[in-house]
Amino acid sequence: MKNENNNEFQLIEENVFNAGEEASTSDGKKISADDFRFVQQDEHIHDVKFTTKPTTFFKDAMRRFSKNHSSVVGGIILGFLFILSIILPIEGVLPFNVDIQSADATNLNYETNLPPKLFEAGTGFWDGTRTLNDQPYIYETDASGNDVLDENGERIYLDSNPYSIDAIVNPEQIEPITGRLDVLNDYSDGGFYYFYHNPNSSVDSSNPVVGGYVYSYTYNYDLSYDFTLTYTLGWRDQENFVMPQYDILFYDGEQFFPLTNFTGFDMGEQGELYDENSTVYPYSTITVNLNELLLNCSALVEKYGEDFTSISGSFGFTFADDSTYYTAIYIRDFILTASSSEGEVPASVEREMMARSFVSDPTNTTFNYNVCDVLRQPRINSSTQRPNNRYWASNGATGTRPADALNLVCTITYDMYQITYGYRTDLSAIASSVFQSWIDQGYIEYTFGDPSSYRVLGDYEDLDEYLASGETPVYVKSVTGENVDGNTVTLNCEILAWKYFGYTSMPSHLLGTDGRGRDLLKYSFEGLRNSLLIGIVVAAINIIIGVVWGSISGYFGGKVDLVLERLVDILAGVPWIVLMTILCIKIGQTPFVFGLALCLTGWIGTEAVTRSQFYRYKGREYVLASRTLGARSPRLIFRHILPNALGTIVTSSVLMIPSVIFNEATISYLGLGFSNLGSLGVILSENQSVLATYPYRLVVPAVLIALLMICFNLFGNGLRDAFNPSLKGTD
Amino acid sequence: MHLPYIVKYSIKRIVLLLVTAFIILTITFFLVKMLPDPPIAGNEQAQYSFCLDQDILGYYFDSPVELEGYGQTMMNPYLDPQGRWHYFYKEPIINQYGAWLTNIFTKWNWGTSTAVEVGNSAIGIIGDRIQPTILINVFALIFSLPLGFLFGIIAALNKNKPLDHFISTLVMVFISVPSFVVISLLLLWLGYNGSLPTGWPVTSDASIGEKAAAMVIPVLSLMFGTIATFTRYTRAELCEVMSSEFLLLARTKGLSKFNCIIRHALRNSLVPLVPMIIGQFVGILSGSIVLEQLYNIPGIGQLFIQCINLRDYNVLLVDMSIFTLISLFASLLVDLSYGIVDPRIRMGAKAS
Repeated sequence: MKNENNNEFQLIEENVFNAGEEASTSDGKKISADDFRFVQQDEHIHDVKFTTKPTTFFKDAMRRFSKNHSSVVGGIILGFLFILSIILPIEGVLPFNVDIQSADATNLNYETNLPPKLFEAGTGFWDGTRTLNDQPYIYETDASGNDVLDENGERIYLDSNPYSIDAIVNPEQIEPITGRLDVLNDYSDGGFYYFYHNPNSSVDSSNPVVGGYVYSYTYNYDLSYDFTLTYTLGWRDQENFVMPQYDILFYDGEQFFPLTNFTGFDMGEQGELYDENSTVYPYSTITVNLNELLLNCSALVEKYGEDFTSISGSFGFTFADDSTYYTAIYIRDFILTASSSEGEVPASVEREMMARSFVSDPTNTTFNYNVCDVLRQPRINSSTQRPNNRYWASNGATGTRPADALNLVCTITYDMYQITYGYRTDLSAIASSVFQSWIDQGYIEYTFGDPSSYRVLGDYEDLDEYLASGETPVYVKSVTGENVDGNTVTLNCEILAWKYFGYTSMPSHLLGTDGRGRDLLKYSFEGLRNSLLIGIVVAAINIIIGVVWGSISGYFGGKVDLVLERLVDILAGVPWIVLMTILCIKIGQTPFVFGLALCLTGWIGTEAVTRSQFYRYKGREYVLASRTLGARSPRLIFRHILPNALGTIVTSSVLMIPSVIFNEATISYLGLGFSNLGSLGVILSENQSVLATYPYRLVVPAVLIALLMICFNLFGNGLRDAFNPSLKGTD
Repeated sequence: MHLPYIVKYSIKRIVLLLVTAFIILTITFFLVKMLPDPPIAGNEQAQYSFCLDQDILGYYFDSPVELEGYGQTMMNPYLDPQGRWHYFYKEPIINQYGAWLTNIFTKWNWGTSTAVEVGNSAIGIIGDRIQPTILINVFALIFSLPLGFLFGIIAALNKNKPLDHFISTLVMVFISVPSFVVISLLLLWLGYNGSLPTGWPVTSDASIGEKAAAMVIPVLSLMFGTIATFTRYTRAELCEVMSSEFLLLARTKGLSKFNCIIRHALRNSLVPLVPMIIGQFVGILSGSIVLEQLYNIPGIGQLFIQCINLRDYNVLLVDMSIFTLISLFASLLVDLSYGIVDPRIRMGAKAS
């Protein structure tokens, strides 16, 4: 009877509490069986069919996976990347793609290093323009040398680059020059200064013609401090070349004061520099006391009086012209330091002295210069490294600067696409056969040997007509002939470059182009495709080896397990990168070795997982039952135990792909990989050296590989959570 | 003699570690010795003295006549001051191995550098180069630890709130992004577009300020991944402890939430984190190979790449030994530290 009551109590809970409250009242009311009734008494709950369908493990995991939003998003992005990596590299999908082999690159650097372009030029963002700082500010002058002003009273900027369109000059950004030898930071070396001699001037050895000047910042020198100039000059180590005579000058803003009168100094500490081609450049470092020089200069004393205590100006060099050689002086250092006999030099003085810079002579209107644009020490490639020797790189441009533009620089934005693909004057862009046909047609009169007999007839009118008739290449806009020298004629053709290159429309590269003119979008996705291919193939091999090894080790256990595990221990102990390098050196950098190296230790993770799964399941009763019924080992392994480990294996294979890609990228990035593969790591490593000049070339593949990694990890973690709900959240 | 369990276990592990290291180094030695030799550096005199040295050390042997059918002649024959000819041949690898072991155990001679710093002892070069590597890694670890814990605690306390999602997303990003990408982008933004130096000071007499400035980018680039890892583990551990029953009990007994977290949750969650810190140190140590190469840091990672490119096998062997030993010792320390920070865990104990 009591048991029955208990049953009732459990079945109608709501009444239990009511009854309980009643029971607890003090009036002592009895609780009888009638106070209770069965809930669902008339319902046949045991007959209710399940509305859900039976589901498999994978379907269930899929359902759990789709609830994890971040993983789904990761998977979708991953899918997009997959599809793009297949579609984009197909020939013709991205039409504007060239691949200039390195040999041609020097001659035809047209389509290389174009910035990314999405919007029209001039919008200021993603518009295919390049902004160059510290460009010489050159403005129009009339015949007498005075500035030509526009209606606003502003000087008119003369574009030094005739091909640039939309040269954006912001007059407010014009600032006094802060150094032509660019930034001499602590990691830089100097650069070459060329002082060309003027062939028309007569050279008198007793009175050397001044070839040009370089000089430092203008600064107010408080002579209570001791100023020391330490400079390092180098020269080409070639026969019959002697270091030219030079003089240290002081320029007070009005006139030059020679301080040494070409007496020169002892050569000081000497050493050797190297360039990339191992050419030797001897140099010597000389230190002079500037206070002494200043106070001993009679012209200065005459102007400023004896014992002047401060003077404002700048120091510089001038070189005696040499009629035989271009005076190419390598100026490595030009360091002004301040010191004081009484205590420390104030920081303000020190800081000013640290600004080491050079400016060309503003008064010399004709001298040619060659200045190194970038003097940063090149990143030392380990294969070419010479320990303890720094070397320089120069990519300076030659040109002539007008006189008074020198103290001004400005920031110019060039539309690189117009420069590359727009109208441009090009020498010899017309094939000789076409030129011959023009001669044949009678548009050009031409005789070899005598310059005067060459002319384009009719003031180009006939030629223009001819050009308009459509028989000439469509890209030629105009032709001018010049420079008839012996039996060669050079023609200047103004051409529309994109037509000349054979495109049907003006090219536009969404992500720009690299140093070989390859479209970065296509090239990056090609790299992505290769990386994915490597990742998937290597991961597949790793999974197979890992599963087989782990199954054997886990299933048989005992001595087999012991031996196999020790092998794994040793293999895991040897640094992976060491094995890889030794293989590469020993056998060579082939795709096979590369794959082998990636597979060498990659399977160990899968092996451990499989092994532990086998240990977990091989002792279960159902396995024992199957074995009792006569199942052999293969059946037990493949039918009964391995499927249990499937979820873990799927997860680890998805997570293995990014790790393989990562490893591959790391090796390639260090330059140890297989460079012909064109994977993301190789692209990154190729573009690492231009990080300072063309950052977008590195940013694009870097972002791509980062995105790939993030998506793979999100996707893989989602899969793991779905297959192993117990692991969820542990990360 | 009755030793405490932990001592016995440690001794056992250290012996095992030395055996494993010995096997690994032996394999590496044979692999390296199978590689083609680079030409001997220097003029004929230097080459001769190098060969003579190798002969004394037992790697070459010296023959007064040219031998037929004995592999390849090492170098051109050398004429010594006494007018005798010397033909140097490589010993068989197994003999070289014996000589190598003898030299190490009797003279602590790991060989001299043949290319990186010609003539210097390999072990000395490692001694010079290990300082910047350790310096950068220690700094990265010191700065990462508190930040990682802080972010992890913040994320765990705000579990499943926007702040947690934000931190978790960042953690995901920084764990996924390869280190060389981080380094490159930092170099770009702070180095080339910023004012920080883009390479290690070349001269040794750089001031402390310059050195400190040069260390910002490398340390930062190592920190991102490390902070992310610490944050993730701290969050996971703390979340687990926060949902444990003893904490519920503490709350039920009336302990304030703050006290609960500080006195109970945090302490318990730190237990599994200590071994992880050691593991992480090794992780960033090996990760700094790329960094050292890119940032031109004269550490053992860059040395490794230099050795491979310049074929300096003696230094390569020592460098590899260092890496191997560090990783082996780290795994040992991790295992031991489990037992130390939490005495309930007895590594290697037989299941009762």
